[in-house]
Amino acid sequence: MDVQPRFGPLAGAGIVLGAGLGGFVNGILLHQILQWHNMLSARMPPDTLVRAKANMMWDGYFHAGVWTMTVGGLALLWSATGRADVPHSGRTLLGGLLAGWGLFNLVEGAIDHQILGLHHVAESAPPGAKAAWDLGFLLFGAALALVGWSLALVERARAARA
Amino acid sequence: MERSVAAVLLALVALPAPACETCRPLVRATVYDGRFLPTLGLLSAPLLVVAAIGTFVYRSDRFGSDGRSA
Repeated sequence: MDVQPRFGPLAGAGIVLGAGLGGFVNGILLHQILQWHNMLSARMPPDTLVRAKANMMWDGYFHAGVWTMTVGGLALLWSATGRADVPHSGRTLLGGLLAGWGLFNLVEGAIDHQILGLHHVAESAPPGAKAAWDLGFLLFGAALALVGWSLALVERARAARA
Repeated sequence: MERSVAAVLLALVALPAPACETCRPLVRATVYDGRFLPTLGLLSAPLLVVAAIGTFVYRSDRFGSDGRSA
């Protein structure tokens, strides 16, 4: 009896893993290396040592959260691995990873930057440029999510034709 | 030469610890105030949303090879 292949487990694991790893890109690149913003830098500008260290502590909680997402994604990936109905498809996993990273940027950008105003991508930029960077972050996330999801769908369609 | 290196090392060791012992209580008071849990909830919201989407896709039967329920 043929088992119908299911791409959901691999794509779902990729989404959670990609969101965790994408969060690390955000934290390592934008918070630590470039120092464009911190987690609460719009509400609590890091203009004194105490405030800078408090922001650093909140960045730590953020990193703890994305670490947990990464571990959760690995657990889902492990549970999907070896199942007879889940194809060993690198493209599906890659698509899920990109979609997860993009979704994370979209949701984090919408909630933290636009709705709550906890921080902005380029905190010290002039107001117009600050809004442009926030918009660019959302567009980059949307593009990643679209490319990733399309990759997973194309792979599913290819498997259906085979 | 060795003496100069030793002197530099000694000077570095003798510097005050950079952990800011005096400001540590202020930092903790700034973070762990009455808004700590609500703020933690706000920071967790994007992660929870994406985790929910990923789990939904993982469990979804709609993502079979032909797009129909498996």
